[in-house]
Amino acid sequence: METGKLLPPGQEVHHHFEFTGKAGEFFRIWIVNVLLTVVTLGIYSAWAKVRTRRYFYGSTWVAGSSFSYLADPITILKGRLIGLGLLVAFSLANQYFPLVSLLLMPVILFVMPYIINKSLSFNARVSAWRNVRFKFQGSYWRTFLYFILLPIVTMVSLGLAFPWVIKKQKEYLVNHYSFGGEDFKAFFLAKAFYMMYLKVIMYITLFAIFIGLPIATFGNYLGGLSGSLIAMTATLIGYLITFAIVMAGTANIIYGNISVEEYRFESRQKATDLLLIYLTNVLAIVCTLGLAIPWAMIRLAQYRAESTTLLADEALDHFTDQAQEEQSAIAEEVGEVFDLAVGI
Amino acid sequence: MRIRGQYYPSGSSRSQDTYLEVDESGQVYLRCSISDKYSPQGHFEDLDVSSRVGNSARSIRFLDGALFESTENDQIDKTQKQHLKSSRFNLIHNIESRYRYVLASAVAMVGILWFLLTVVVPFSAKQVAMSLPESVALNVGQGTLEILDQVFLEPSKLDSETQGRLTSVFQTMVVQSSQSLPLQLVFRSSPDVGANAFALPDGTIILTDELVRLSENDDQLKAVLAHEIGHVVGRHSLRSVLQQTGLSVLLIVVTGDVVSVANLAAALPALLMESSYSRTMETEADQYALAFMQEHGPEPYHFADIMGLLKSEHEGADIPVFFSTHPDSDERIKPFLAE
Repeated sequence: METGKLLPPGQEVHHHFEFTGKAGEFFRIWIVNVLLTVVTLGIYSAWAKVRTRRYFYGSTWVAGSSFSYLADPITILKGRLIGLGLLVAFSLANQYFPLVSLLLMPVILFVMPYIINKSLSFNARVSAWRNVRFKFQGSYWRTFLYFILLPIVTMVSLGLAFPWVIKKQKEYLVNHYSFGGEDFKAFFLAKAFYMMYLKVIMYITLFAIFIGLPIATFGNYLGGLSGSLIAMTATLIGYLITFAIVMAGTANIIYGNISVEEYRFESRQKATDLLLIYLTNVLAIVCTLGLAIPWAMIRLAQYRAESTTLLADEALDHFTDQAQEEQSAIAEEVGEVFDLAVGI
Repeated sequence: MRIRGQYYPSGSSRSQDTYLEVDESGQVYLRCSISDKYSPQGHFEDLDVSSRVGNSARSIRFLDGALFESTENDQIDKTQKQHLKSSRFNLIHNIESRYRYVLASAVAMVGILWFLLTVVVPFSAKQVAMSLPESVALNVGQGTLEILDQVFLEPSKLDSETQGRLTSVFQTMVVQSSQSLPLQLVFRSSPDVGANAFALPDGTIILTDELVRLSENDDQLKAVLAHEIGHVVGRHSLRSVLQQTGLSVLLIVVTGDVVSVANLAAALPALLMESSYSRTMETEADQYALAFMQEHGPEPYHFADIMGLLKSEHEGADIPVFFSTHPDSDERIKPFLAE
């Protein structure tokens, strides 16, 4: 790996990320959030989001300091209302004026980069560590290139370019984040992404042949409700395997190959660990009709924090907060409502 | 009062282990834990203290932009109680920390959610759909047929005599139904879909060649058409859009910023709910068909006959009733055989 400048070995300290959130404590926050949200017909959801984020940020520690989430619920509420309005309008249009929504598609493609940029920069601006905020500064045409044009390349290449496109996207995102005036830099190799997706294909094929197929045959043989439930479970497990490999692999590639100034990160997530967490999470959520959601969220956050280390000097004291424009949360919430989850 | 935490000067990541001290009068001092140097920071009332979220770190912001962070939440709460006049701070935290309230919340949430999903959403969707002017309810969805034609329908291969006969049968039914709706019957072939009939929101009813061939007589087709007219009269397409919108809004609200795995788990209840809504509307269309057939004929048992034929035609694709968009066919035909 080439990171330009590195700290002399003697000065490098391993700052391990730590997550101090507790499932019991967060359960109480979560259930009150959900109740108030339902009772207020969704108005409270903005406050609920802020409390949830503040709990997770405020429980994630590195080098003796926790992260903070600074967004104002009112800003989020405004964005959410506009986003929901658009969603309702869009789904009605989609159902009833299919031709109009076909015409809208190109417009949406051109609006999307704007929404993605605004959303990323809002999120970065309200995330802080040690009184210093993060910043994302993307450019419209680059976002357009990486998130609209390159995915089309993937389709043309029958998916062969997919890992490369993901690499370009992540690289673009990382390189446009900064913390306290210092830019993050990415040193990704396309090979790492290709290896990860090869691994997915390999494990899914093995799973399909040795476990999925026998289960599906057995389910078919049983027929009826239990049969299709068994077949659904097999599909779900296949999906979770993919998800675990991709999430662990992506986190390791990203955190293992970025730097900010002369600081680096280490990430040690294992797909098998993640798969176990996902499986038990889904099982618990389904069995408790959703009441285990907070427990599931805490476990995941804990695993992610525990697998990450910051390699830096002891003090970490020379980042300074840079002036940033106020951002509205409208774009972020519109993006969220339409499920445009983009991030590293 | 003494609170231990980390102090960060304005806009800097330099961290200092510090005590924040508040005296009786509410004056705030910062005392460095190493050098013991201290500096006055004004009155506690002027500080911006973030509200408590569990035991996660709280931030206390000074006027000059400097920040003090601490997890000594109980100490901060006590100081607030002592020096702030307003008692409204930490209202939400107080609810969250009392188990009685939390338990009540859990019970209330399940109840409210169940009520919203099974009563409020279907009821309000129906009210809204029925109160929209007819022109709106019918004009929406123009173009759906064109899209269906491109995707999975082919031109009908029925001879024009059959088409003409069925069209006039249909016209009679439209007159009998005494609805002012612009109902229209079209014929299509679709090997993919097989024997089936659909009602589009604008009053177009599609009959597949496969269904015409499957039926043993026109009375059975009349039974199917009566059911489809029931869908149009009840504005079921519009209602299902409204219901699905309501359902997805509710799910977004409940799962909030939940990780995608939880979303995945929430997809199952959503699927169950959607198919339950759909079954309700199928039952309504059946009821319409039954009433229609009792008044204008043909005999209701024709509906049971064509359902039996459809069931054996689609044998093999047996979906459990929870996931099915249609009620169990044995259940469906019971009322039609009751006479």
